[in-house]
Amino acid sequence: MAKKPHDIRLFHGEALFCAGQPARHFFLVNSGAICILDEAGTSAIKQFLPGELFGIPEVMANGEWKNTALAQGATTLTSFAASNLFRSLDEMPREQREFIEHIAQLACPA
Amino acid sequence: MQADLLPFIDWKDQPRRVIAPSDKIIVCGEPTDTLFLLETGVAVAYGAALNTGPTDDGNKDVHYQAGALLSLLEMLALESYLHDVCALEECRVIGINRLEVKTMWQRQNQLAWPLSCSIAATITQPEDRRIRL
Repeated sequence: MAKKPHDIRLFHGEALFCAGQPARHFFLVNSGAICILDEAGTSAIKQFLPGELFGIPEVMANGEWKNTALAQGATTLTSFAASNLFRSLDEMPREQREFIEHIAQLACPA
Repeated sequence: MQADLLPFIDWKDQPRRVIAPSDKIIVCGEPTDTLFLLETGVAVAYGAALNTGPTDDGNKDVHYQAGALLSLLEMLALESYLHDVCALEECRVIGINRLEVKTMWQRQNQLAWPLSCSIAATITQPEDRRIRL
């Protein structure tokens, strides 16, 4: 059974997840911002702003987070369990599911 | 990416245009309100290749053959195209309006379009969104 989405509130600089942790949730930014750090932890290689979803390719790969994510400013997010995504994909026509799986592999190569 | 990945898009009644060799099919900065299918010919997007990590061969150009969808991920993720796409020989392209694509894309499932756009945005996020901490 799919788990209900839940809200998360982070302080500025607080980690949402760290490199190496299992990717079991994806996220929607509601306010503030999330920075994805490079491996050295010195630069943000991606930034997600309110209204943006992230983490879907990593969750689809059933893998680990390759990078650490930090809140930039006070940040609120909605967290969705992997089971929500897999259920949605199962309900899609095959062609659409295959396309999404294809681009998810491009975003998160094995 | 080839058009057969998206069999739910109906191209047959869409307008065609012929592009002369070395002319641009897509101009960097133009709005992503049209998706292009290369029906015949060969085209290239200079510097548009994704970094594929350790297996990256360093070639940053994307070459398109007949049947290719031009800059599909940019069309899904962005408001304007990031790279020029140039015809290397005479090309015939089909253009389809973004809203029509969206309608066909989500006809059977409302989540398919936003999920596709979200993943494409992860891939194509421009460098100017990258910040020094």
